[in-house]
Amino acid sequence: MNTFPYYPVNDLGPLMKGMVIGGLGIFHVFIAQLAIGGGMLMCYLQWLHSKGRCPNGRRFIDDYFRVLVLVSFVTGAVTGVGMWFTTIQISPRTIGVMIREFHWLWAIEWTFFSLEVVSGYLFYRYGRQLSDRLRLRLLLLYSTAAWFSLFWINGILSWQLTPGGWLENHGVWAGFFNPSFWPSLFFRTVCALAEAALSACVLINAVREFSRDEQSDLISVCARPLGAMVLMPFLGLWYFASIPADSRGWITGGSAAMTLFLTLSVSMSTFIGAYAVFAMLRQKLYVNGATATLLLGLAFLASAGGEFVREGVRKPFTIREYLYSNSLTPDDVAEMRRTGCTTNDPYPLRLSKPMPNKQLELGAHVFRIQCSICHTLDGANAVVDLTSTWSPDQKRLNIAQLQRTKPFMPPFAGTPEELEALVQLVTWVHAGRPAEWPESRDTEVLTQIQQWLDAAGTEPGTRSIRAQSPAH
Amino acid sequence: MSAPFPFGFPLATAGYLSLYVITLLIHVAFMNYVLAGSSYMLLTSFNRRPSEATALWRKLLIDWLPFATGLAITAGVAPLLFIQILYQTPFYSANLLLSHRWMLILPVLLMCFYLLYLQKSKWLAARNGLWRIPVVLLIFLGFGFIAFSWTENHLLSLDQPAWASFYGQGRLFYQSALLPSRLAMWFIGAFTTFACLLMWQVKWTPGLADKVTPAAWRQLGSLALAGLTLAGIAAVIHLATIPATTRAHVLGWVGGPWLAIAVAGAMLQTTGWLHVIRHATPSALARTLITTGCIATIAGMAVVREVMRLSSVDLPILEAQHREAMNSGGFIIFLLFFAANAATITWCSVQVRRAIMIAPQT
Repeated sequence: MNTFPYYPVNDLGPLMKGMVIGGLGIFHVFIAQLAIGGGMLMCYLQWLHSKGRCPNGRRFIDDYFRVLVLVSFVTGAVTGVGMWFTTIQISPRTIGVMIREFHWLWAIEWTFFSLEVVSGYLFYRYGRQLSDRLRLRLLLLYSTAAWFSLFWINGILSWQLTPGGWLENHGVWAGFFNPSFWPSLFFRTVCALAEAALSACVLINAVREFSRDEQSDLISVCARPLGAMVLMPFLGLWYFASIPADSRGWITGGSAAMTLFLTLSVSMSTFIGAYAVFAMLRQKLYVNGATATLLLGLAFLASAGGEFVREGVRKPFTIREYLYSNSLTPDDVAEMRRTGCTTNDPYPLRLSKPMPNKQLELGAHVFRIQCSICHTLDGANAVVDLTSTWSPDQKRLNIAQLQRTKPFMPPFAGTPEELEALVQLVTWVHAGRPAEWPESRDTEVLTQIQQWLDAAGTEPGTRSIRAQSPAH
Repeated sequence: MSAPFPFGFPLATAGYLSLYVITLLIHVAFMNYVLAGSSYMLLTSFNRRPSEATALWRKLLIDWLPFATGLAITAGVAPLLFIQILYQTPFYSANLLLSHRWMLILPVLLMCFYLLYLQKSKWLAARNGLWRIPVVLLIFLGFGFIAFSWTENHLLSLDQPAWASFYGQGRLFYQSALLPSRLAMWFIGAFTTFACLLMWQVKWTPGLADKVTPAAWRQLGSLALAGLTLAGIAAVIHLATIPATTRAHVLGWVGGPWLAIAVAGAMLQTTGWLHVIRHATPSALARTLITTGCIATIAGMAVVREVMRLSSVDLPILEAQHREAMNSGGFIIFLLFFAANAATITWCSVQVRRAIMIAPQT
C-alpha cells in the first residue's frame, strides 16, 4: 500500500526552491556562527581584562556585545524559526522525519538556546553593573550554551548526509554521532571563531571613541582566534574522508557547480587564513575597516559556498539512503512505478491558463510531484533548459533511466504513461507552448518506456557508483 | 475521548499532549505580555499628556517589550516542536496552503522586533508623536497580523475537507465564522496575563514598587477586569458557534473539567483584581489569587483548545504516529539537560539580581 503523504505543493515562480531555503540557511548559519564565536571572544576579552592584560577589553565588550546581542537574538532567533517554517514549505516530509527521529535532541537544544538567551540578555542589560567575576561567568554560560546549540543541531544536520548506523537500527545516538559529526562540529567551531574575530576587527574600526593605538591593541587581541584557521585544511580533509564516496565524487569534478563552489570556498578560506596568520598574527599589521570588511565579506562567501556544497553532496537524497530529494522513499518509487505518482494526490492542478490536452496536464502534475522541489519548468535550474538538446526519444530514455543519466538524480517514480506525459510537457514548452498539441498514445512508445524503466530498476544511481568503485 | 484530558489517550499521545500544553503555557504567557503590551502602547500613545500611571507602565513596557518578545520566540520553539509530532499532517498542510501569506509572519516579526528596539532608543524618545505613533502602530499591526495568521492557520488545519479546494483556487485567506470570536478571545484575554506579569515585574524589580502609585494599580486592575469580561463574552460566543459535536467534547468529560478550571481561574482573578482596585495595591493574598487564577485560566483554555482540535482529527492515525515517535531515544537525556539548564537559568537570574541590588544603578 502506498503511504506517501501528499502535501500541497507551492510554485515559487522562476525561483528554485533550493535557492530560497539555501539563501535563508546560509544567512542563518553565518549569523548563528557569529553569535557562537562572538561569545567565545567575549569570554577571552573579559578574562584578559580581569587579568589586566587588555585594558580596553571591558569597554569594548560593552559596546561590541550590544551589537552582537541584537544581531544574534533578533536575526538569529527569527531566522532560526524561519528555517523551520521554510523547510516545511519546501520539504515537509524531510522535516517531519527529522522531527520524528530527533525531537528529544531538538528539545535539548532548546534548553541550551533558552540558557543562551537568558544569560546573554542578563549580561546585555546588567553587564555594566556587574563585577568582572560575574561577567565572566555569565559570558562563559552564554558561549557554552551557544556552542552546545551548535553541537546538537550539527548532529542532526550531519546525519542527513551520513546517517551511519541509524540506517540499520534507527537508533537516535547511532544517527547523531554519525561519521561526519565530529569533523563537521570542529570545522564549524573554527568558522565561528574566525567570523567573530573578523567581525570584531570591523567593529573596532567603527568605534570612534578608541584612539588608533587602542584600536591596534584590540585588533591584535581579537585577531588571535583567527590562528585556529590553520586547522581548517586538516578538518576539511577529515570531513572529506567521512562523507560517502559518491558525494566526494560530486565535489571533485562529478558536478561542475559543486566543484566550482568548493573551489571558491577553499580559495577564499585559504586567502583569509594566510592573511590572518602571516599579516595579522606574525607581522601584527594593522587591519583597517575596509580590509576587515572585505575579509568578513569573503568569509561570508566562503561559508555560503561551503553550505551550498554541504547541501549539494547529499544528492540524490535529502536523508541519505532513506529519503530522496523529492521526498520519496525508495519504497515509494517502487510503489509508484506500479500505481502512478499522481493517482492518489488529492490536490488539483493549479493552472494559470488551460493546457491543450489532458496529457500535458498530467505531465504538469508529474512535474509538480517529482521535479519541482529542485527544478523549475523554465526558470532557475529549468528542466526545459537542461533537456533542450534532447530528442523526444532521448528524453524518454534519459528520464526513464534518470539515476543512470545523472547519478545525483533520483530514479523516476511513475508509470510509463506519466513519464510520457512529462516528456510531452517538456517538448511542448520547447515548441513554444502552441495552442494545439496532439496527445501521444503510441503503445509501442509506452512499451519501450516500460522496458527502460525495468532495466534501470528502482535503486538509486549512487549504488551503481559504489558497486563500480575498487573498494566494493 | 471519555476521560478528562489527557487521560483516556494512549500513553504516547497523552505524553506529547501534556508536554505541548505545558510548553504552550509558557509561550502564551510571554506572547500575551507582548500582544497586550503593544496594544497598550498604541492605545495610550494618542494621549499627549498621559497620566502618571500611564507614563509609568509605558516606560516599563518600552524597556521590557524587546526582551519579552525574545522570550516569547524562545519559548515558542518548544510547542512548535511538539505540534509537529502531534499534528504533523494538519499543521504542515495549513502552513503550505497559506503559503507566502503565512510566511509573511517572519519578516513581520523581524520588523516588529527591530521596531521595539527603535522604540527604546534615545533617538525616537527625542522625537514627537508624529514619529512615535507610526512606530507604535506598526508594532501593533505587526503583532496583530501574526496573531491573526496563527488563528487562521489553526482553523484551516482543522478543516481538512476544505484543503483541496482551497489549494485549487489558489486562495490566500481562509475565511471562517469561528475566526473573529476565537481571535478576540485570545487577544483580549491577553490583557489579564499582561496585568498579572506586570504585577510581578513591579514586585521583583528593585526600587520599582515605590514608584507605582495607587492610580497605576487601579488602572492595571481595571484593564485586567475589562480583559476578563470581554474575553469571557468572546469565549461564550465562540463556544456557541463551534459545531455541536465539538461542543459536546468541550462540555463533556474530556474538556468539561478543564473548562471549569478556566472559569474558576477567571473568578479567582476577578476577586484578586477587585481587591487590588479597592486597596490600590496588591496584597500577598491578591497576588496569590490573581496568579493562581491566571495560570488556571490559561491552562484550562489551552486544554479546551486541544479538545476542540482533537475532536476534528483522525485520532487512530495520529496515535500510531505518536507511538512511532515515542520510540525514538533521548528522552532521559532531555530531562537531565532540562533540569540542569533550568537550574542554571535560575542561578544566573538570582546572581544578577543580588548583584544589582547591591551595585549602584548606572
